[in-house]
Amino acid sequence: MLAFLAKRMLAVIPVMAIVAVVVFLLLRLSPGDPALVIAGDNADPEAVQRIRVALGLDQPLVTQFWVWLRHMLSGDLGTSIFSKLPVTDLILQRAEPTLSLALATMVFAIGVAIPLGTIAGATAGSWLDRSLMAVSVVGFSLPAFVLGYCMIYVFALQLGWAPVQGFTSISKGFLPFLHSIALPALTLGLAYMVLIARITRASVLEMMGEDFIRTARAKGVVERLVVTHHALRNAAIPILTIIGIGVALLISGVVVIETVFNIPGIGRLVVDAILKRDYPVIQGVILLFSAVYVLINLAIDVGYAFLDPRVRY
Amino acid sequence: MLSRLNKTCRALLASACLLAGLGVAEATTLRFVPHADLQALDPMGSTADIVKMHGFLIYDTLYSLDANFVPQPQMVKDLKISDDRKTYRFTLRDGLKWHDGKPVKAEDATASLKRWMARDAAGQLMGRVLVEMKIVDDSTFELVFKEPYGLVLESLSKVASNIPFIMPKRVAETDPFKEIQDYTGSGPYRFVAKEWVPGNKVVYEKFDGYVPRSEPASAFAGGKVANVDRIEWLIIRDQQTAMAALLSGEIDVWENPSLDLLPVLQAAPNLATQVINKTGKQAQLYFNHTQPPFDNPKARQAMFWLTKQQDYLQAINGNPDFYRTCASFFVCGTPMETDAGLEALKAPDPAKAKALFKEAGWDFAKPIVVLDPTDETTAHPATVVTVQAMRDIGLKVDVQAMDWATLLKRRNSKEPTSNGGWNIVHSYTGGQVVTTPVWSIAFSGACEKGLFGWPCDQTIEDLRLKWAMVDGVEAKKAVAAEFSRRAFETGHHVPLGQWTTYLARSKKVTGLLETQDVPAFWNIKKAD
Repeated sequence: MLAFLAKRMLAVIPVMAIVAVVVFLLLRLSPGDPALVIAGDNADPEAVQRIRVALGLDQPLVTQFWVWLRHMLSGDLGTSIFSKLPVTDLILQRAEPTLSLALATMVFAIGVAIPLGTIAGATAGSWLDRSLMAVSVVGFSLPAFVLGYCMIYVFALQLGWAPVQGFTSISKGFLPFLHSIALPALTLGLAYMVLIARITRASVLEMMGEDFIRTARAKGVVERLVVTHHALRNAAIPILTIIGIGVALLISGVVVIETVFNIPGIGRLVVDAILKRDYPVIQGVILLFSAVYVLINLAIDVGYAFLDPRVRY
Repeated sequence: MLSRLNKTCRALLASACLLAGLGVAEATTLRFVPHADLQALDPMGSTADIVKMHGFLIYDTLYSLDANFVPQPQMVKDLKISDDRKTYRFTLRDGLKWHDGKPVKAEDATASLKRWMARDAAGQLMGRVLVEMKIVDDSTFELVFKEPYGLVLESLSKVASNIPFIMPKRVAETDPFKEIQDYTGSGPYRFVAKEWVPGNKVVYEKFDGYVPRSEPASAFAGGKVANVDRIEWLIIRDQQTAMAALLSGEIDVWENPSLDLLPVLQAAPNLATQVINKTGKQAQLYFNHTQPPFDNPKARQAMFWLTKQQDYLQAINGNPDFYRTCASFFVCGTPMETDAGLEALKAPDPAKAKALFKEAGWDFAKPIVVLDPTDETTAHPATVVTVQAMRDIGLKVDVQAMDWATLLKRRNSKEPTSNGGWNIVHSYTGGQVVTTPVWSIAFSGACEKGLFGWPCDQTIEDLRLKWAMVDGVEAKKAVAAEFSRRAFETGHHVPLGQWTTYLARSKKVTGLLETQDVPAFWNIKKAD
């Protein structure tokens, strides 16, 4: 296992290197120029050129890439062209809201989806199963931003139970933190909840027809244990896979939810940076996202070995 | 049942927040949602309105424009103009202090003006006739001109970016093309750098050492009395979220609600709406003067005859209470408004437009490239109107969709349209920028040194300089009319009309000034 982990960690290096080159080239070769955005509509060409020189954007691509790479290798992701703040600081400023939202979303989604999906799978065709499937269709069909507005209208404006927007750091108390994160997490979590619940149901349902389940029942194991110890455990691999995919998909999901609920997270940071062509910020965040993807995949692979004794590395 | 549950939940949540010391907003904190994120902190480095708003909060100016567009002294106590009108001696007010407590000196003012002259069009114009800036003593300095210059106070009080904000000498000595790193000002509020989260929040605190003038506030002039202790700009991108936040009382003022939300906001009992900038904004259609067909003035004039401002304004704004057609290059309702030479805008005639394209020798089978920034809420609808009008007279139009940042790059291309070039782009600007022929490079005729599209006409340049040099409003109006006639003859660009926006605020907030430009934050009061 340790050798596997070491090999996978080493494989991260070429992956990140390829991402770095591709992101750098894509940004530089796509249209748009931060100097023009900074200078504004009424700037004369000379002023734009002087800003370009000040930012080093007049240098050949290879030089620009080398400068960026050199800084990056020393742990410096660069400085925002617009705010002049270090990209690392900008990411750290935004990390807590995004991590909180992602974590709360997954806790809600997994915490609700696995019991529901398991029960639905074990009682296929029952009213609970049918209800869950109906909710799944709604959950999948409803775009997150529509659900977000509905949540704001009902829970923030009509009932006054939650704030409309913003984020309160956990350092200011757990209850205020929970108060600020609850609506966004519920909104974002619904789609993941139904996704995980559907996969759990299908996997458990498939296992319930297996010979070992019949054997367990024949040996007199109570139905609850048949479902949780035998069916659910063997159904865990696809569930874990879909949770991993869900976490990766969250990165795109948080962008929408962060906008609707005005949460200052990394998703909004990168969207703003793209619109302004703030190259260092885009490059830094995309590299971070890539690293997160790679590490999630690694964690899922390790998880397989823990859940299924047949999987060995 | 639901009502009881609701009350219980509200009480529990409120208690929880109170226990955490967070639930109650401070009475003197103004929570303001601006129209955009603060993307830069150097008012010389950007012409964006949001940067200007930041500048007015933390810096002061020597002169300021009042609500009637008249320059009034702000940091200046006394002005003496020599008999030959070539020397202006300014004495600063007593008690002016930087945010670090040090006194504001004449050397700070001259260094700041020098930096401004390197970046701003009006500053550069003034620099051409300026012989020297002489420091007389700590609070007095002189501007000495080689000939009488008619725009000294107008330039020092201009509201169109870049504004000559006064900075400490050590800051003003920064290369004009590099961003400043020290945000010490002498304005009524201090920038709280440690609380700045770009894209989310900007915080300002009242500067207790600021001494406001004794005159009542009038737009950007008069006493800048800071009544609220703390100002928080919250960047909320989504209109629905901002509206909900205002309705729930989480924010106090929202600068740019869209017009379709007006009925909801007007119906809310705790809210009020207000127009603070009657000068508003103006949209424009720009030509690439270097590429056919618009290398020919007849084709450019044709577009004037094709322009129905009503159609543009309906598409851009949609509410006749907030827009007005205006057959003038200079914003209607301001002193230089003139319709000289602009009969075409008053009575559009598509048939005449078609005839002019034919006179220009244009082959109607060839495509005209129009760049369409689909993410831009003003330029995009304007593009749609232009394209339809052109197609209606039989022109072939190649509409190229892109985002705004891409358009900014593309419009600098002088290549033929077959090789990434362009023929028409649309843009818009704050009204203050287009109140005179000199504040904006948009009126330039300086060929390659001018604005994208590169209009090239020495007469236009001469008239801009003439307007700057003549003294008195009537003389300037006459030159403005002359400029307008020439701008039509050369088909410089087409003004597409003007409109205003509104802001929405809690009724607890009062004292928002009608600045005829961006919001000012002094004079505002917030009730408990």
